[in-house]
Amino acid sequence: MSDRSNAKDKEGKLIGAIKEITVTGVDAKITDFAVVGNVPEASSAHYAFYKCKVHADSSLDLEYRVRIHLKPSLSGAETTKTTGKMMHGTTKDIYFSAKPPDLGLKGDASYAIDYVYLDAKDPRTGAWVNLRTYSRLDVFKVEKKITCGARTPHYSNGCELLKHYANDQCEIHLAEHSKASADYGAGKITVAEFDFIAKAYGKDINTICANCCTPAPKGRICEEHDIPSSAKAGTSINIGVCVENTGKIKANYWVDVKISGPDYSTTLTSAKKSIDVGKKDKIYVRWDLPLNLKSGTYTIDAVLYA
Amino acid sequence: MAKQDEKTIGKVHTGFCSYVQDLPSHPNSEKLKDLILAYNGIIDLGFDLTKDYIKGAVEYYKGNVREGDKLTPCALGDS
Repeated sequence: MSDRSNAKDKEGKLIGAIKEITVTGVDAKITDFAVVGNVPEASSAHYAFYKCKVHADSSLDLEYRVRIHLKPSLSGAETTKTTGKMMHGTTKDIYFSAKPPDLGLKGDASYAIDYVYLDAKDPRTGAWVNLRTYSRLDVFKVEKKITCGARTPHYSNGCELLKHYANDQCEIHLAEHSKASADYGAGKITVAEFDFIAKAYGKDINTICANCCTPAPKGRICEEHDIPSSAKAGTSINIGVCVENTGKIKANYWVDVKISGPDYSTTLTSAKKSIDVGKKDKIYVRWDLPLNLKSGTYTIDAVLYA
Repeated sequence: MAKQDEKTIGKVHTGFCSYVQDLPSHPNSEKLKDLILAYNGIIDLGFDLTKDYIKGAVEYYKGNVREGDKLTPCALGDS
């Protein structure tokens, strides 16, 4: 029963409480606020820096929106994320990421998430309605960008950082990027260092840091050899091994040629030969067939060195 | 020094094998005849011969390279 007494309006008519209705508030909420990482200045990609967990209302299926307030504000940072329609009683992790521009930082800069807002969309009007506001003080950093010449958190300079991860051709490809990613995950490098490596993905690191890295010689044994198909014991033949410079620098190559057949085996080493980038050439060894060499088929194997 | 590559790049036939290497593709009965003469010491082809070599040469002549390889020290089948 109501304990409110009836009242009179201006015209003296009695106004009475006829029924009480119990209203249950929307009980959606946010938990598990957490900074998940720093972000790099002049970033090449979006990096997650904050997460939280939205718990949907226990009985209504609604769409939610989480807003965060950054202090100071950060260009390139997400501050609003919507959940899409959530079934009642479910939860969803929400991540915020940032891709800050070049801020001209002299050192790492701290940023704070000081307020987090939970809104829900009114299904009748489509308007967003604020349900809760959380006062927080969650701090993350925007890390100063890495440069080729300056010291990084873990390397003497950016060039050394790139060289550490590049392959012997001074390139960063999937394997090298994956290694850096794993090291970032393990805390061996910072997000700014990782982002610097990511900027070199698919490239020669010398395009990022000029004159930083010298590629190793690289070559292969090609197919156009110069080998006589037959030879006579007691004579000499020249065996030409086709070699291709598949690297990025002119280099000296030489070959070991192993000849093996019936009761016989010998290895001949060639002189060094300089081959230009992208060129094929033949490197020769001279085989002096012993007088007592048996009739047979002799297999020729080559090993290329640079 | 860094190893760059390694592979088998070819084969060289010597003596008897050099002599018979084109028999499968160019059967030549004169060559077979000379082999028999050399086996009997009538002519010198510059290499030693056995009965199996002669049998092998006949197989090469007939185009049976694998059979020839079984009877001789040659490897004409995979060259």
